[in-house]
Amino acid sequence: MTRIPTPAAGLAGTASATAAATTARADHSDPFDSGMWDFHRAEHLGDPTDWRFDPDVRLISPGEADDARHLPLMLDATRVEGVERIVVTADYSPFPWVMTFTPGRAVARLGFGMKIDQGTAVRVSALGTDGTWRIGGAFIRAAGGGCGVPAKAHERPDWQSTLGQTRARLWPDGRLRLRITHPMDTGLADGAPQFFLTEIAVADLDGAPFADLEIGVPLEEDPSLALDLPPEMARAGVRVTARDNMGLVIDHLVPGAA
Amino acid sequence: MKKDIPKLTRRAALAGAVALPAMARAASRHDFLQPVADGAWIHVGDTETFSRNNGGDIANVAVFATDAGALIVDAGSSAAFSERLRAEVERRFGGLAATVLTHHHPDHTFGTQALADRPIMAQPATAARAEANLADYADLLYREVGLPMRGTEPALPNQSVAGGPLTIGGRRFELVPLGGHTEADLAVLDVATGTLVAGDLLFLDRAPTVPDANLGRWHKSLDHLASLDVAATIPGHGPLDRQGDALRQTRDYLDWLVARLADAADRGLGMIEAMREDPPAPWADLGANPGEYRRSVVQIYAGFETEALPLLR
Repeated sequence: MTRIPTPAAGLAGTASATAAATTARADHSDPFDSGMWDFHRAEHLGDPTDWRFDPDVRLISPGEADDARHLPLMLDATRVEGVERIVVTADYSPFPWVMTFTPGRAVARLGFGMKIDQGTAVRVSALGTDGTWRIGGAFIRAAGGGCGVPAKAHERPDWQSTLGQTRARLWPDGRLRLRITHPMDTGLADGAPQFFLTEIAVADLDGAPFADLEIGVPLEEDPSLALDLPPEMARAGVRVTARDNMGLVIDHLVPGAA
Repeated sequence: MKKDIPKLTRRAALAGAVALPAMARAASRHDFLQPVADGAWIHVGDTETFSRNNGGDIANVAVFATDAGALIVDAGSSAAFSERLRAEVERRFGGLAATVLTHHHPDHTFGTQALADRPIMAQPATAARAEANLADYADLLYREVGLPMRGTEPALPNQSVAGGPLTIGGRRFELVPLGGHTEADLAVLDVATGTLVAGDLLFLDRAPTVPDANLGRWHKSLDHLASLDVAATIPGHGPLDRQGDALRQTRDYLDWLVARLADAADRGLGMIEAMREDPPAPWADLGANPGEYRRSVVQIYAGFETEALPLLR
């Protein structure tokens, strides 16, 4: 059992160059053949003309959601050189936009969990510094309903007492794990209006931004994240900030990896 | 996994002595009920998870002959199974005396429909969890099993039991209230034959399930079961066990699962990273794996993350 390895820079470069040389024209035939993709590309990627499906953008998934409230995923665009931002969307969902990840100086890979409302393609769209959108994803089979069930938090009358609690740890190889207690209410469950984290950011100890996530209601309750930073940064420590749509601000220093 | 007929120990042979002639004539692994000991019978469910193929018949059922009719322990998953079970005990054991449910999971409780005119006994927490989860479980079973679930409307427990001795039609049982697989697990010991019905505290050749588990408490329950004087064990899933294999295997698997997930969390793996590598031998060969392992990660990994990730203040 291991972390997903980062390809060596040289190898990644070779693979991309080969792909570029052999792809005369972008392939636009949708591997998931689903009807919403054209709309979502327009709505969430800004209707780009320069885009293509690319196996170098990967979404590691279980293929099936055993718990529609917590579908564990890991997106990986480390085979693409120069990733500016990564947009995660679900084709069939009341909330198609899941998040936008700006890796900054972090590795273009992110472990996260999301809710899933029905069987759907989940897309990972990576915008390169070359201006090209490269699209990957996976089809997830699901019984669904993940967006409409009340958050587990509300089973406890004192759930607000742990709201915003943050657990985090850095490892010497650069791994950052982070979990923030938050119900991430979608607004679809009775009696619980939308209440969710809107942003999680990682900065170095001087406050210079490092990586950033804009997030929407489909992210799982108590979001649990795995990021990979440069090892020297993980040894120094990082600052994690987050905010929600009701004005809660979370601000923590994560001590450097021992 | 082991598919051979279990070896009889001397003690087990003694316990089953009266039934043995009948076994020699009639026993077949394909029989709906197979003999365990004198007046003790087991129905062995499929060791995979719910599917159209197995019709939801995945949990074991125990039947004991008494002077007042049969005592059934656990009831299977569907109306069709329930009717089959009822017909069997009417024909062979002079009717139904009562049913005991070991815990609230639907593979053990959704076949209560045709048994509901007689007492259905369970611990109060079992009854409460069965009622609270009724709709969700029905969704799950109708989705995964489909047509064989047709017409299934399970009856809830109608008689509360705690623990201690229970005598039905002159046959003495000891009810052992435990927990850990769920909030309330009930083991049933048939005193005369030393047959233990363990419910899902014990699995054999089938991966244990942990959606409602408290693993520390489960361990204590295993210790308690190990202290009982038992001739034969009916695990919740898997074949009849006369050797103590179910106890050893369940304990070893849970220990392995805990060690693996604690290690994964301590090395900073995300949930999908902990999930994507399948269990090694011998756990790979258990019924329902690797699917059950993957479900277990989704169900309990957050707890291991809590241990591995310090709370920031």
